[in-house]
Amino acid sequence: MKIIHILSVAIVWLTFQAQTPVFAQAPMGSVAGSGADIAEPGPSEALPGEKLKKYNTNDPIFRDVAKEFRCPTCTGLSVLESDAGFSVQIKEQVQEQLNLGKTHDQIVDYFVERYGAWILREPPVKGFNAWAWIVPITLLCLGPVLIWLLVWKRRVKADSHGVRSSTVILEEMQQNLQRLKSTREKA
Amino acid sequence: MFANEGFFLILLGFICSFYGFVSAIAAAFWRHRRLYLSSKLALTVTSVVTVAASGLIIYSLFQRDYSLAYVMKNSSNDLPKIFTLTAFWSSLEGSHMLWLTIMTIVGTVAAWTHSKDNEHVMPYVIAAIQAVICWMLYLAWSHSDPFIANLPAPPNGRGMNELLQNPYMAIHPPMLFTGYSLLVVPFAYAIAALVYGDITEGWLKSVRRWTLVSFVFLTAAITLGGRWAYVELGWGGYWAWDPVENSSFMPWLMATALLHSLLVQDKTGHLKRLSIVLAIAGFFMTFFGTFLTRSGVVSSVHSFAESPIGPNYLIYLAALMLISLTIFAIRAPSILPSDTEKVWGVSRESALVVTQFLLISFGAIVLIGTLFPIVSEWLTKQRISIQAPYFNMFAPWVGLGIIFGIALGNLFRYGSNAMPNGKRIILSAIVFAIPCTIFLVYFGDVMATPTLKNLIAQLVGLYLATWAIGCLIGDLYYRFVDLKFNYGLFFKRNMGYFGGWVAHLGMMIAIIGFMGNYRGMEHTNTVKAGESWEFHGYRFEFKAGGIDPRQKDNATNYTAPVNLYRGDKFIEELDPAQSKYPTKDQTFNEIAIAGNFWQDIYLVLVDFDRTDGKRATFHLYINPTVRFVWLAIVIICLGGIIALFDKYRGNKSRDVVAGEWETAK
Repeated sequence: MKIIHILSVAIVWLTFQAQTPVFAQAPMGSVAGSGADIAEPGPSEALPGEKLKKYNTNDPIFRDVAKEFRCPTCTGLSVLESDAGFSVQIKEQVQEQLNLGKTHDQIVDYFVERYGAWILREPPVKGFNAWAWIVPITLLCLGPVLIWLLVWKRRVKADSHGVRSSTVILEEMQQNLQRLKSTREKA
Repeated sequence: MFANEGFFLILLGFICSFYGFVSAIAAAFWRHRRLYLSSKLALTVTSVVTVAASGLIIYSLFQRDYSLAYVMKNSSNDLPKIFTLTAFWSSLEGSHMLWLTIMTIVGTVAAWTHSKDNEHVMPYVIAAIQAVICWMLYLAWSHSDPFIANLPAPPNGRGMNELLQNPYMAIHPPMLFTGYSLLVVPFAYAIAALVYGDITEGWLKSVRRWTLVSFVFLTAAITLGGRWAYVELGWGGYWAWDPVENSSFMPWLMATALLHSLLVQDKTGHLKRLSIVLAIAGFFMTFFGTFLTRSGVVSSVHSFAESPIGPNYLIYLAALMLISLTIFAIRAPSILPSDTEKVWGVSRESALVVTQFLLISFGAIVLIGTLFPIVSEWLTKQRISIQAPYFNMFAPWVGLGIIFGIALGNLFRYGSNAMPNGKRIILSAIVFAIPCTIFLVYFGDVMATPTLKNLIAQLVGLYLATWAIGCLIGDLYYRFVDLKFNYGLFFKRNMGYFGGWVAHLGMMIAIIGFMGNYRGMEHTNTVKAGESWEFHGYRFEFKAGGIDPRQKDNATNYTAPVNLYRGDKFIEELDPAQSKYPTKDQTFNEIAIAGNFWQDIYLVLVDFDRTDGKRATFHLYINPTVRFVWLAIVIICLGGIIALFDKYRGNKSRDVVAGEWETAK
């Protein structure tokens, strides 16, 4: 029972591990007012007087968001890694939204609403999709336990010809010896 | 020109292999020697015929004979010689033909070079190989015919896929298909063992040897594929967990697991049935992966090879699975359990079982991740993607298990829980790992990692990997001590162990290399000609001349020469380019890679001003320890080759009673 308890805790913990990208941090500078100002490529810097942050393609916050989406036309790559037409468009949209002051989560939600969960590189861990995590985690956690129960603990008492194994014989001899000793002591 | 002749050859091969299949089964049933020889000859003839058919395709490619549709679609007049040859496997029909040809050759070699100990199972082995070849030949004339005529012949072809015009792509497919084809032999032996009802020492020796060769080829081929992605696709990495990559990785995992289970089987006689299952699974995965990528079920980079052969593959795979499972279910109980008594407990064989578990469950995770989007779409009607982040979440945990398995497992001995010199080795490795980690951290510039989580993961990973290397070295040292440093004796008797040792060392170096992915950096810049920018201690100067068009073979490379400086010291000129092929409007990335052993400087020309060429956008990636990975793979392959020279393993006895052949009356 204890093992099952520990396992379930581990599964829950790993499931949350899987979710962490979704909880990633919001942009550092909160934006006041000037949404119309769309960033030109250039080093990101806060303008004096305002807390405006312009997000260019080298900005870590922009990169964190862009990493979440898949390139729609290629397989295996995120929009950040891809220069395909669609990816460039999505990147521009992400930049715009960041400049409008939207947070990481808001932008993710916006794209999921528009394109469906397909646009995410990993589906949200809920509903049926959770099985994609539950099965491997259970496998990795329960596997060693099963191996332990099925293989390691199974001691062969006799081989296929019915001959007892030497360890079994040795154990019996030890027991006999103990018994002899104890009877002798009693006597 | 050769459309009819080629089709005839394929048909002839099909009939031949069908005859070979039937005659091998009949020979096995009646134990008829001459029929058996006839089936062997049929296999040989099949291989000659497929080689001839492949030769015809290659000849047509060099003749620029566009009356063949395949030649027309995959080559053009401007194609250089080397790529004219590799155009043979640049598309579905040709690569199917290549796979088929290599498989017939492998089958023929397996049929004529088998050990005397295996004579009794050979008819089954040949029947299994012929069944597979027969199906592939059926596909070659029905759905994937490379000899479809295209009349009248046009003056020029459409050209080869530009992404494939790369030396790595030239050797990757033949290597991969050789690795795939070699797995047919363990599969055939597994089926033969089931049907015959026993596993013998000779069986083990043959399966081990073929699996090992396949392992070497698959390892090299997968890496060449990764190297191709690295230098050709321009996204800064070599492994994206793309379905195509996954499908070449799964057979590798199965073959590796099989090698380890054969080891347990050799030493203790256990895990016979697991070996059989793994041999079948590894072979199944080769076709399953091909099905995934060729049928368009999972759309992928390699989708240029899509065709209507998907349903055929599905039927074949279902039949393969069903037949194998049925044979296994009926016959597995007849495989006798081991004679050796065994207390598993904590021992080397238990460590090997853990290795099996890690490799097989990693395979399962890769399979789940690859198939889950299909299953999910089918059940919930909602499309989802599962990409690299999913796999990257599980891979480190499996890697952790592998590190501990390699470090500790090798210290155990078979059949006992004693760990000779274990404490001393482990403790000295703990000390040994400290300077090693500091060395790697210092030269690898690990402390520059941006996030704390990645930094900790790297420090732990590097420490454990170097600790495992320390354990490996300690184990080898004490083996030398046991033999009183008689190296001659050691290398005479222990090539199997030493090969494994080298491969494991390579695996650890690879893991150290993979750690570099945690601290990769990238930067995008748009600069005018003559301007320069700085990043991570380097200065990049886009030369004042701007874009320079250079002719290279059939392509025009619009090169952006960039001078690389470290401080004020000029290092070298980088030439990232966009290449333009005469057959396509599109341009393709030509990446420039500089740097040293510790990090690659990877520069991509993303875009440039098409009017005057004086302004360009660059993607810059600093990829640490990528070269460790290439080095590690060379070491792993070397380990596999060394292990092939083992003379003693699996050769303990010749206890086989080969059934007498009935002579025809």
